[in-house]
Amino acid sequence: MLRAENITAGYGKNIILKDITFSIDKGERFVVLGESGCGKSTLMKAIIGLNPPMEGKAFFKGEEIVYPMPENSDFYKKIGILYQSSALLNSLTLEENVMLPITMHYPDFSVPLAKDMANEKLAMVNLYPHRTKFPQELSGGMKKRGALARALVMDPDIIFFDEPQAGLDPVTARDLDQLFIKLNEQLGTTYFIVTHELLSIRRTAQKVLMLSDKKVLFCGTYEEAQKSDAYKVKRFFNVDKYD
Amino acid sequence: MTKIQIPAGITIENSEKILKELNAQIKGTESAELDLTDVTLNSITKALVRKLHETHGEKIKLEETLQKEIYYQDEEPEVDESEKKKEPALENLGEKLLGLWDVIYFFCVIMVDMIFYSFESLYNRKFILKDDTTKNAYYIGYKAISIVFLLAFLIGFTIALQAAIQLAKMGGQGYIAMMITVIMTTELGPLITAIIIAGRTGSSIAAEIGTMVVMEEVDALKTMGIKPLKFLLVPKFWAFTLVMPILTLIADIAGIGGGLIVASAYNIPFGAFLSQMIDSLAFSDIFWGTVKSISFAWIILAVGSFKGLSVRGGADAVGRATTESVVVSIFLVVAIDAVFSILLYT
Repeated sequence: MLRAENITAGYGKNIILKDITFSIDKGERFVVLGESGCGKSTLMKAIIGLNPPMEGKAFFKGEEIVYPMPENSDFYKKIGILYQSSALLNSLTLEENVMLPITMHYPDFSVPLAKDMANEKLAMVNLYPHRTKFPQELSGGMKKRGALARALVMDPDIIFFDEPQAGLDPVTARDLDQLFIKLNEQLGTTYFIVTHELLSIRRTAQKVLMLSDKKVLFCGTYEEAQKSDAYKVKRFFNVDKYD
Repeated sequence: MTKIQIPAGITIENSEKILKELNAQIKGTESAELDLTDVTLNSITKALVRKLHETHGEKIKLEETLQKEIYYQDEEPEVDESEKKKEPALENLGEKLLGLWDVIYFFCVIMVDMIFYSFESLYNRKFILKDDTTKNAYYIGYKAISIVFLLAFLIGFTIALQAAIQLAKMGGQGYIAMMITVIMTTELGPLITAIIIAGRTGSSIAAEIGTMVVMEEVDALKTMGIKPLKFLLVPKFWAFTLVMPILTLIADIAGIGGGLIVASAYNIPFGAFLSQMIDSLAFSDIFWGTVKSISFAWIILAVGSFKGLSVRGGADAVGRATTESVVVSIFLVVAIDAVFSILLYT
């Protein structure tokens, strides 16, 4: 579904990541993890073209992604993104926010149909009764679910999640994880999740990519990561046992 | 070795007094061991112990386990001197000029894109929300009418009054109508409106877009395949283009109204004021006043958007962008007004 080859990324002259290579299969829940500041979000932003890679290539469904991404790139019609801050537009209601990708990409598309599609996704994330509310009237967890509905509305092949649990209490974070898993199983959408929340990783990860010192420290299944002999990997998964 | 008891309950308020007492006690000894058994090791206590150590040096002894807790690593990591490359002054200047060029280039890109997308939107409505232009026109125009009217009226009144006092000395108070009409339609109407709108709407545009950048909403628009400049600026562009001439006209009328009050105080009949006003109204003045007001509107919108999109960081950066957008907008408006004056009236 998604393959990255020797991606080098950073900001200005500052290189954050070097020679990052990985691949994600269809329907897989792929988790990028590592300590704060190791470049997880930078990797995500490089792949989706917000901060294009300095070197390397990425392939989506076998086709090379062209960087810098043209503004009207079809790639954006096939992906969904859930941002750390939810990034719902405050001037629009929840329903309008979820409809936005459809109405923007297909201005001539029937509005009632677009509304219906948005409401179906809002019902999926249990927000249908709140569809007329504005983002500022919603809690953090509701905003995240609303953003998930928006990410899902165009039935994307892959969804990128940037720290989805940030700022949420443990119960809401667990509920959100369960929702992610349910939708992943139901829709077969591939997930690219950036997080350092251990509990969330345990619940959602099928394959993990661990970053450290600008490089890939580990890439494999979650079970393999648990058995890894690499010190930093062991320390990450068993943080209480190490100083 | 004398044992010095560090008292419990050291606070920021009593610390200086205790430090003096402890210094005095330690001075009278050859070597001293600090006893911290009854003490809570809060930050002021630790700082006080470190201060004692700094003052008396090796004279003070402290248990090894406590030392680890009290002292912290305060050495700067060694930096390889060869890596510390000194930038020559000329390169520094060059870098700053390049930075300035980037700013000007980015501003021009926004200005050109804004105008291009706005005219393109006349036949391609993609990325434009329905009713967004109307909502913006309501906020930018309708909501600003009262403040524009009031300020223009007061400025018109004040200028007419000052002018009338001087003109009356030469018996020329009859020219108030002509003077205030010309001054409001050619200069002050567009200028006052632009300054009010720069402070009121330009700043809110910078804050709105800046907050959207901080909250990743602009990134979200990009990754939904939406052109952020078109989505955000086109409705505002048409709203500005539509309402600025109307607001300017209102400012002209209000300013002339202020002059009318002064004229009536100088016993100039309403009919005479009106006929002099009509005589001095030139179509070219109104036309160029409208052209100016539209160009001011575009500048205010471009500066507000540019400052908003340049925000990096958090809430403080949004605040700075808001202030800078007002300052830069007003400066550019006044500068462009001066250029118009040179081109039109010299």
